[in-house]
Amino acid sequence: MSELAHQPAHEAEARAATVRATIVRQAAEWLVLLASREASAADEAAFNAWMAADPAHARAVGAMRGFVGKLNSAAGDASQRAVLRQALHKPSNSRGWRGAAAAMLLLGAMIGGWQLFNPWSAIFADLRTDTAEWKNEVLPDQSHLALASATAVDIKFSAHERKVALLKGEILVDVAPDPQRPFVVQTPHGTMRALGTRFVVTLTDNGTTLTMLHSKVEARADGQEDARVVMAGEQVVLSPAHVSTPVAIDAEGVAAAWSAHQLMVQDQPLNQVLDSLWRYRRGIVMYRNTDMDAMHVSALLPLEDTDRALQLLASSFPLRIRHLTPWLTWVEKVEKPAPADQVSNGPAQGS
Amino acid sequence: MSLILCPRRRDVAEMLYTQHHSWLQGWLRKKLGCAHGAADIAQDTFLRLMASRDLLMLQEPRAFLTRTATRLLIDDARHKKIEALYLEELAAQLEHAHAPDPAKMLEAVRALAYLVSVLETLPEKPRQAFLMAQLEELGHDEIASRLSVSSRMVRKYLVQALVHCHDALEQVQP
Repeated sequence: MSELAHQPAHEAEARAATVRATIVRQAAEWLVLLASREASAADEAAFNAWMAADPAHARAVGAMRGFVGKLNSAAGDASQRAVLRQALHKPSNSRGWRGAAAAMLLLGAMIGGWQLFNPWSAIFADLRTDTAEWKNEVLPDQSHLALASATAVDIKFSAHERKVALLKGEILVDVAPDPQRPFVVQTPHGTMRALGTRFVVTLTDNGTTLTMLHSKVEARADGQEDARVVMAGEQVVLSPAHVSTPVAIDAEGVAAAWSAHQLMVQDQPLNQVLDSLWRYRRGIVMYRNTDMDAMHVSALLPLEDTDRALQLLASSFPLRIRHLTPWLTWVEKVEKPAPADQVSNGPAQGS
Repeated sequence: MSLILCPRRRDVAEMLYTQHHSWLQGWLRKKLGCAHGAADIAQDTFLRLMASRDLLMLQEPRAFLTRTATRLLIDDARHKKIEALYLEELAAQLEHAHAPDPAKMLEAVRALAYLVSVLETLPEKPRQAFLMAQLEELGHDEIASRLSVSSRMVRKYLVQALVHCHDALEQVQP
């Protein structure tokens, strides 16, 4: 009996579903027609009449317009549009999402594509370190070369010259004497010719920093005739056609910090310090320049634990640090100073 | 937001949790190779289970759990991929533009992941036609020549795309 009673109800349900599907199809056909150049005033009038005929019609159109609206609002932003294009470019296959491996491949391909066009390409570098990796190498001439995190160098030794090209990151060089073959470090910003010595070279987007620990080096910016001799305890920045005036640094302190994998900063704007930390982290550290450049830092920061380094900075400055995702850290200035119980006795000190 | 369950639902949920939680976590660990991620997804899966309307009529709890957990894994991978792509885009533009508000960025990643989740299951040709119309604002004739099909076919694809999006919305909203 129950079977008999249920059958008509079942049929009615199926019929209702068909009606709903028809309405949805009609709504889609109307929207496609109205978006085309062929739509006439008569079409618009007919559409309005159809909309008014049944609330279900208007609901279907509203749902579609809602989705298209979200899509268009994302597409209005260039970055978001690019993400949609890339994420939806591959053949549809929801099984392809079985891990972030595909994403990493895609990301790798994008980065790779850029690096091929970069003349200072680090892909085929002779020596390299990953993020948060340090490496010590003895070169064929017994010179010592230490690579900090995310660093790449090419080594070109000939009968007349020992050349190390710093492609990215930071190196500490301890040069073995060889009067026949000068030792030269080259970056996109210029060359540094060792006159028997120990020094640190750091490559950033804005220039190459040379920090002298011992003895002296002849620094020459690209496109510049005259070289400047930089002495132990001095630091200069090489940028195109310019070597900055030397500033005094604590050479022993820098050397000690280097071997302990620490970052030593002396009266540096906070944004520069954050940029330096970035090289030791996976992912991105974001901040507003205008918030940061008025705050100057003198500190010794642990580079093997950059989360702790950020905490130390936050304990001395009015900063809020938010880890939005493992990839993205946001640093912002807050108006109130950090509460007293957060001030640590760590080595970070505001100045 | 709290979830209010009548006693009977709560009893059922508790029973399901005791009987299947460690099994599910083990299943996820094998799949993921990561205990930490497995615990998170297992927790989320049970939250979904407890919110499910059909909790009391669940015939095969383990089938439901693995189905839900698999969907969460896919959502998670999609979210991570979109986030990585978006950050890469932002980083590329960081020098020219100021960094957007982090809350807005998260919102954007969520919105993008949602749009992608709806559109990725649409077959290739209709999806391309739809994206050309919406992202590139191309006319039907232009889309037709790019896809080497007739304008009539393009309209068919666009209708199919809108129907697909509409049905996807209905599935999300109970």
